[in-house]
Amino acid sequence: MSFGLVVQVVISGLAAGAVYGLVAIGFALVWRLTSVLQLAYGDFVGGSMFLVLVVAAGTGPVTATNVSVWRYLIAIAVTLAAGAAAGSLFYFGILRPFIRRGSTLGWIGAVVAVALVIEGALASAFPREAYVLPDPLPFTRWAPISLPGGASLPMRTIWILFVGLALAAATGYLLTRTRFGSAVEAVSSEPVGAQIVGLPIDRLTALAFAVAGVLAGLAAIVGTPAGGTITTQTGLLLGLKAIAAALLGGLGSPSRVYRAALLLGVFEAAVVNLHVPGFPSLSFGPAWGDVAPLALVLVFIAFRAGRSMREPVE
Amino acid sequence: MNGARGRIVVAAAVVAALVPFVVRRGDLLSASTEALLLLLAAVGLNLAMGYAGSPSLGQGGFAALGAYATAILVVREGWDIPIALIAGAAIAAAAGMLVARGVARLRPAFVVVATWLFSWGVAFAIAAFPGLTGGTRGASIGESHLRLRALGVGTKLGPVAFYEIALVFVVIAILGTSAVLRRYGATFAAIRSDPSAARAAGIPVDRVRFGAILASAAVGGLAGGLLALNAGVADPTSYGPLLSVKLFVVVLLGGAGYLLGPAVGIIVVLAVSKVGTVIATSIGGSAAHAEPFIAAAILAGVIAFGTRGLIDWLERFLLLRQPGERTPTTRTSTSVPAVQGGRLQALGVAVSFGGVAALDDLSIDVAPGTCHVVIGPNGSGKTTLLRVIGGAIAPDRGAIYVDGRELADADPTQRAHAGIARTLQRTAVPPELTVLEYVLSGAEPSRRIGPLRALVRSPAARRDETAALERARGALEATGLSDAAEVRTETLSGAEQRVLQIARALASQPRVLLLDEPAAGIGIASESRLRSVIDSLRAAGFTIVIVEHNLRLVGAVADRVSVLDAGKLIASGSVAEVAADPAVRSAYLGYGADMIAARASAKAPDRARPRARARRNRV
Repeated sequence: MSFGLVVQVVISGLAAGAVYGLVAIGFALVWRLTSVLQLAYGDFVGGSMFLVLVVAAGTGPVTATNVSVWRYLIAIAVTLAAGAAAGSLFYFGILRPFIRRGSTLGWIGAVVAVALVIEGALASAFPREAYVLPDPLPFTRWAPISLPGGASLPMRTIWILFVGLALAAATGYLLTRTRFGSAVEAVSSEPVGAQIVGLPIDRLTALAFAVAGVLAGLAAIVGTPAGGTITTQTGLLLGLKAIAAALLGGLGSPSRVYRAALLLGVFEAAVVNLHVPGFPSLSFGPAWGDVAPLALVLVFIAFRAGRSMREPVE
Repeated sequence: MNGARGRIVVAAAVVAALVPFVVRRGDLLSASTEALLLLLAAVGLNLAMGYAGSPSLGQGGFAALGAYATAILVVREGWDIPIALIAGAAIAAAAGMLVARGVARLRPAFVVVATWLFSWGVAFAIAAFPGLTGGTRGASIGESHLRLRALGVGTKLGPVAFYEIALVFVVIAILGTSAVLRRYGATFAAIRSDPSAARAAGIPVDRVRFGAILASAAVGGLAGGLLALNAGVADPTSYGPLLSVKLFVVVLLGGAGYLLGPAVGIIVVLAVSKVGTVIATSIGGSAAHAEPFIAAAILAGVIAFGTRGLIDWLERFLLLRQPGERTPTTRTSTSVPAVQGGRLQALGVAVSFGGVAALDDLSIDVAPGTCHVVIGPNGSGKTTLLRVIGGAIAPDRGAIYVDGRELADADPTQRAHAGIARTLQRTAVPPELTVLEYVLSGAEPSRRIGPLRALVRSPAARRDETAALERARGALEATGLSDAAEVRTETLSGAEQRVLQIARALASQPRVLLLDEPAAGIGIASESRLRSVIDSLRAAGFTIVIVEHNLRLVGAVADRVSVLDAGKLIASGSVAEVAADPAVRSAYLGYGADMIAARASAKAPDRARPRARARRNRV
């Protein structure tokens, strides 16, 4: 691989990883705060994407730029509000009885059922092969930054990386520096004790899910693929890779999860672009883009699963 | 398997075998075959999910691997069908090995996540290589390939043949599960109800789970291969994550851990799916779009009514299950054959958790056949010491010796082989087991027969079974629980359940017993019972280490007492010596003793407070 290609691989990997990171932070946040593994989280992101689409442009064909900025802003506001509402509703309406009973199989079943319903609903409501999400932010107006070796760094990548870092920092702050963060962590790690000291468990948990819902909305908006083409499976796929990244990051602090996501993005880009001169059979190609991250995390789990994932040994 | 269930299986199989002679429509017969094969995959999944307690959303992925491998090997490579089926199952099992290696150690929620990612990974891999897998059209298997060659004669496999083959495999899988349960049923139940306690008892939890997941993956792969042959195509929409969810639902709905649970589950799921599809198409939807909704609806239904499944509900509803009879008396007289207790030494053991020293250069030496009690304030490292001796954690420094031989690997099962058995503070007993079965699970580390020989019930397997039962009976005899052998564990009193933990530890034939607060939560009346059990074990020659707060019990059973404070040994000696030690009084009574000392000197009562606070912080 030439130097330029390596740089390009790293950059496109970071851009993809940054988007996984946004979703992974939300996933890890839900786990830290509620001890629920939100397998439907990617579907929440997918749902948010299509909500942006419908509010900003309706279901008709759109191009990336023919949407007014005002309507786009309204779409963002609606999506974030809907994310918060869906998150807390998800808790109150569906998860709460299982969490209260401490029924792991119960909340797992509920989460998987919700994932199936969202997937099914999107597939029924949006029958076309692909949709274009409006994206009026003027990234195309600025030329990409040229880098040595012929690589280029699009402005969009810088934007996504920046937003990802900001969100990682913000959720880190929320978890460790605010009363809300410590209160919810207390609820998660010691529910009975938290109740005894008078923490409003229900409200805090619902709030945690609402925050995660907002994060899903943000990820949907910021993480729109370049060109804006989405399918009903885009969110799902994003969610799976984000879960993979979150597990690689040991479901730890937001910044750790974000770093793991960036690495996963670069790994994926490297696998897709790997060409060994003279050995065409060793070139993986784009087909491996979706397989490689999941394979990596399965190997990781097999050999180095983190303490938070393992059964405690007494 | 008890006789009734065996007769049900045989009768159902005979009736089912006649179906092809009644049902003449090919498509209907093929659908029945598909149902049987889904049942086969579910029976396999039940092994991992119901028995080993690893809830898996990966069975669809294993079936997909088996289906595609079989189809590709038959069509492209021209392999014979039986060999291709075996290869498909082997490939699924190989993937199962990778998955099981990690998953066997994980908490249940993460088992679900990891297997879910696996299912999707397989689905993406199938989509990623259309050249091999046929992409969205699937890998089709032409009629000409569906021939069975044997002894130079080729036979065409029709729908009837597939139906009967599927039925045979289902029956084999159910009877095989039943045979595995005969050997591992108690062990499985012990692992499900309390994996930590099972580990402490020396049961190789990870290895048992690994085996169960591996077997379930192989059965899933075989079912997948047969599904593809029956349908004439390995079609990407039939496998993968949605199938995983369906099979998960089938097992959960019928009742995870019930031999016939998957059969009940598949009937209900198929019936509901049929109705759902009819409703969906009548309101103008497509059957394909309806599928995820139907699966979600059944899943929601299952979890809404608890996750124990229909068979459990039926048994309770029809009152088939008698509430366990409470046996009024368990004897206090015991008979313990003499054993040669081991000399237990811990030398220079240090353990720290995140920079906090839990054990700080600690050494103890327990003479064979004596009872050594470890006391100390909460958080002083008593349980940590037992965990290190029992192999649950590896010390940062120092080593454990039995009879002068160093025990290298920190692995509870290895320790059990070396003659060490440990009980935990809590008693979580699996309610579905009898007392004898529960104690039998403790014999697991000393059993030498694996699943394959158990499956064919070889003479060695029978001998192993008899020997294990004898050990379990002996352990009950030694603890005075023989009269309660056939009652269910949940009917025992709290104190008896404590003794039951000791009985299970004895079943591994240890020479050193580690008991963590055996008297926690039992009344004074029951204490004498426990005391007589411990006394008779010591008299028989066992080396016993007890962590205990109950000073009455300590005084009654201890040959020597060691006192820990903040991970350090502050005193060791006979009960009288230790009781007289001022450092012990101060440490063990903590804050209060400091206060008394401070008051007695009547000068600086404040001095006591910072010290007490410092101790709490260390905890």
